[in-house]
Amino acid sequence: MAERIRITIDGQTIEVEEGMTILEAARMAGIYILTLCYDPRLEPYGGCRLCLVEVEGHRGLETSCTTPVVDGMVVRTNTPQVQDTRREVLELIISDHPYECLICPKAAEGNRCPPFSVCLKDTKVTDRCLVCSKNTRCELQQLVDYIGVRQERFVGALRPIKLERSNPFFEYEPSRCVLCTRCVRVCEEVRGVGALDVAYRGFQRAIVTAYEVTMPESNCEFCGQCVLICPTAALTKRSYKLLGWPDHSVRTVCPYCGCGCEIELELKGDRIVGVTPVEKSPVNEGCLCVKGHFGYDFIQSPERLTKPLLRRPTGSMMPIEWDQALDTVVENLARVVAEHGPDAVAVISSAKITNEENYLAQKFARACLGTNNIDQCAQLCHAPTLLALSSALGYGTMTNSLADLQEAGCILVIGSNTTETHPIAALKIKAAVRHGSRLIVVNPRRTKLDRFAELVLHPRPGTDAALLAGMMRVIMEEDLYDGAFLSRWCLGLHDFVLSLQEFDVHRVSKITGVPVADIVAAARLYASGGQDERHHLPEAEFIHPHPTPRKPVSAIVYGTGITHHHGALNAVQAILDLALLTGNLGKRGAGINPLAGQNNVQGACDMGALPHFLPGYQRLDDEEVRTRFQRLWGVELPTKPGRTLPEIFEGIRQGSIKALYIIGANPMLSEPDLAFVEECLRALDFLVVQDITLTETARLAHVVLPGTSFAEKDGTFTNTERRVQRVRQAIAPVGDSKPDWWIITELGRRFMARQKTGEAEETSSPFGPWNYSHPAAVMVEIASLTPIYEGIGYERLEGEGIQWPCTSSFHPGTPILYRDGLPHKVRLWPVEYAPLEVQTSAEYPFLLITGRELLHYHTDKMTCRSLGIMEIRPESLLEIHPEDAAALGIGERELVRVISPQGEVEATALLSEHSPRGTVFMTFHFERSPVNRLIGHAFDALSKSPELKACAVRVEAYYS
Amino acid sequence: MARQVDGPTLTLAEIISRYQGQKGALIPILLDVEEAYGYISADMAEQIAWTMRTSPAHVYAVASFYTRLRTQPRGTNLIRLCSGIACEVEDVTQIQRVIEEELGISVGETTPDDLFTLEMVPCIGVCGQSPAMEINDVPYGNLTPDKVRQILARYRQGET
Repeated sequence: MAERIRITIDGQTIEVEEGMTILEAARMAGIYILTLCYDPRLEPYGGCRLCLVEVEGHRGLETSCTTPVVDGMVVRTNTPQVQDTRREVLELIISDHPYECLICPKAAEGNRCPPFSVCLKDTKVTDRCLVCSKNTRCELQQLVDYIGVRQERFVGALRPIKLERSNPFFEYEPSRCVLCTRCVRVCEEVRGVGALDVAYRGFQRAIVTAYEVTMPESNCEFCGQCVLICPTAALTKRSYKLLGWPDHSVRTVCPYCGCGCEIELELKGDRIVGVTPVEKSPVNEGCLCVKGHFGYDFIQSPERLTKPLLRRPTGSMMPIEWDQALDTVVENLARVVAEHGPDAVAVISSAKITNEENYLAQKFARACLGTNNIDQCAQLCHAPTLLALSSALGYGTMTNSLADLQEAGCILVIGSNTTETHPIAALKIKAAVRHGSRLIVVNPRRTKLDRFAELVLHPRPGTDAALLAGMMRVIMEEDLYDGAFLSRWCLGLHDFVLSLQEFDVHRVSKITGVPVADIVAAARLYASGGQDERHHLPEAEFIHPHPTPRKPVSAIVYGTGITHHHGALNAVQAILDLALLTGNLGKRGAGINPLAGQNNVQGACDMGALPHFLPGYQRLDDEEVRTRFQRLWGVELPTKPGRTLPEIFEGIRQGSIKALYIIGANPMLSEPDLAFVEECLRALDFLVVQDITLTETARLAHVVLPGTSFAEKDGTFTNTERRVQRVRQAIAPVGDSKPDWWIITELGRRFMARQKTGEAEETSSPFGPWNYSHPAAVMVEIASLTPIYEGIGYERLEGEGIQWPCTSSFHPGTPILYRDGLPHKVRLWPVEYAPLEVQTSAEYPFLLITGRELLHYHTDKMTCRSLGIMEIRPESLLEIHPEDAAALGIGERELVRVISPQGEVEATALLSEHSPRGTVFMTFHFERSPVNRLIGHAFDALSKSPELKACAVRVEAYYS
Repeated sequence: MARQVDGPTLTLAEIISRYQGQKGALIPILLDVEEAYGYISADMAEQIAWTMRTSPAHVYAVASFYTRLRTQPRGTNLIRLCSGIACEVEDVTQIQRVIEEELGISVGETTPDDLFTLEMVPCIGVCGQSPAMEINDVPYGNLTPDKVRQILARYRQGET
């Protein structure tokens, strides 16, 4: 705890914390000090010199943003000397700015000219504030008005008007720049990108990219943070210029990755014109990535479905009315249930739709259809985590919060290209490193996070379990484990140690291809919580500019690099062992942090859209739980565990599943082995697809129901750190589309009505009838049936959301799990390592890794509707090592064929050293390059997670 | 360019490894690269940035700040004409005009045959012999138009 000290500012004595700057202290006391280059998120800079104050006993004036407070300090912010100096500073700042309107006498009267008015000063149009897009929103204008500068004492050279329009998201106009360098610093300090810097000297100074290339050619990630922080109109969003400034905004949650950033959806009438991040959100703290900032064209895209569609016998689709569509669906599902039994129907829900909708979807499957055949795509990436962590610890989820990462002494990122897949989580990691956390990155490929890592390990794909075992062996041998934690909480140490015997570092090094020294260093760094100094990287001076002492705790962050393998469960268990061995659970800054890929993976699982669990991970075979559900729902619940996603497709092939209801999923692009998936879907008796556009999957459906996007409905999402956040309706549903919760409710109501015909008996169960009028009512039902959500209701979600478990309406939520110890003793899993099932051969010499990239999201239905994103990255690229490419005669940006035993796709080659030799990388986003056509049929035996991340392929030039 | 015909004296990796484990090595590395290659290319900036764990934009910003560091390839012979106050008084502008006429380029440019690059730099510290210039770090003082023409002719004939 920092010491409290007393200082006096303008005669007002205040008590502040030691270590604050004068500026922060003054702001706290409500005293205004002018600033231009200051931003609370950035490190003290002292560039604009406007925040000068007089400090008693100091010679000259001090910049208040860089001067720390000292006990007994006496500060004056408004003496004649301060006033004079800062006026002069401001005059110098505007001397190379188009200043005519700024200092116009008319402005002194408090008037800014209305459009088309005659200029008294006869000034060039380009020098007028009036035509500036930031007029009345400009910080410089406000400062000039505040100080009242009304003359041009210094005349500098105006920078030429040279509009930089190379990217589709924002524009840069150097003549409006005041060189506050907020954009440069936010890009480096907050985003960790460093696309911009200040070049040259004197009046030539300018904000440029490296070697002054255009933005798309630079390392810019188009997050738009520089635009948000720019005080003037030097950087502006193009959407504001094209569509106008918004007149109101609605606070909601970003629909892309699992970070769950809060956004303000900005509207002009009912047109979405832009998005800004919510600054007070504890998740994103005013940051967004390119998708979350600019990828919203899909909402009001002309490709949205506006009417339910029915397949004619000829195969073409015909628009129909809702009544007919809903009745057709109910009739057909009921027919299949009647003819083949309830287990002949399956529901595939979605990690994109809200908690309420997932809850209704599983309720529809269980209460109406009478089957546990309900699953969603989280099965593909989250199942091993769910299985391993929930059986050991109780909850299969992130144990800590994203903000917690900043407290870690050491962060181990394994199997996650965090910058590309979870950009905002990556920001927390970068911020932590900036303040002294030490980072270990483990990934077969080079990633953008490597720049911040003290240790970068590139194991061969699929060997993570072996690598972790090697690290644990070092930890055991060097006595680096947490003995107290082990004896208090762990069982099975003997078997565990025995299992490590075959993983001595040299053998592990041989398996993984990682040098022995690196394995040892990683083990020491992780086990010591970043305190081990033997492997310090001294030349990396830029990555820890402000190290502060850290607590010796270590966090693990992992992603689909771990779970998309057939040996996924082994790897997740090894991660769990590593955390247990070093006692890194239940502490701030420690923990196991699996990152959820989609916005509501966590929520979809929480809501029981899983074949083995009821809502809140309550077991199907728990008699007490079943009784409660049966009493409240008023139906018998099926007892047989349902089929997982891969098993559903297997069931279709065997003919035991006849009808499928798919909500917001596109297995025709996201599942492995697409040819097999297509064959299955075509074989169905009845397929109903509910989505916002006509996806590849929807084209095969008998009935298509148009759902709505997140912007058109109320509800909640649960992000990767278990934070339940409120999604709010901003616009009316597009066309005749309906919110998904309404559609499922209607189906449920009609289905129940149909089953009940003849029985006049009135149901006495409170949640029996399907009569929800709003998602809030669904949340009430969820809370009363799900202990971990018991204290959550819409009235409590107006602020920053609540992290479950939240067991009563007074419970504040749980940012860190297991703070009071683990629920019970945990058995350490003996480590197993199974080599990749996929082996390269002479015929298929390359190992293909699939994954995501920053600009696109999952299957292409959202980001490919964004004109801007498509301008930057319109196609799927095959990343291949330049030497491999040369051997095959493939040049940069040439078309190639990628062929596996399963199939073939086309892609454009990108020569890059990011992937090691013999390995190629491709994203799975694009309909035009459906990479999952290549993937084989290997699954993790227990968790059924598919091996999406490895496939043997051959690469050929397209024109050879 | 022609400098690279016989190859740079040190590779980039060698230069970087010289400073391994040292803090504040960015400017010394840039000076060494300038020495060996005559300029700092975008690719080199990227590698240097990676070693220092900073961004290429930062490397470029530092390089563009100092006249001594170049981000574009230069001719075999680099002429640095002094624009310090003493040389200014002794009419360095006239010398500048002569060089520009002789070489057919203006300040900041390189001759089409890649033989000469002309730069104006702040004081090179030989004010006693103003006006003055440096060609490849060799100073020439008390310049007159004739003397300049002779010097340039010598370099044209292959003196380095």
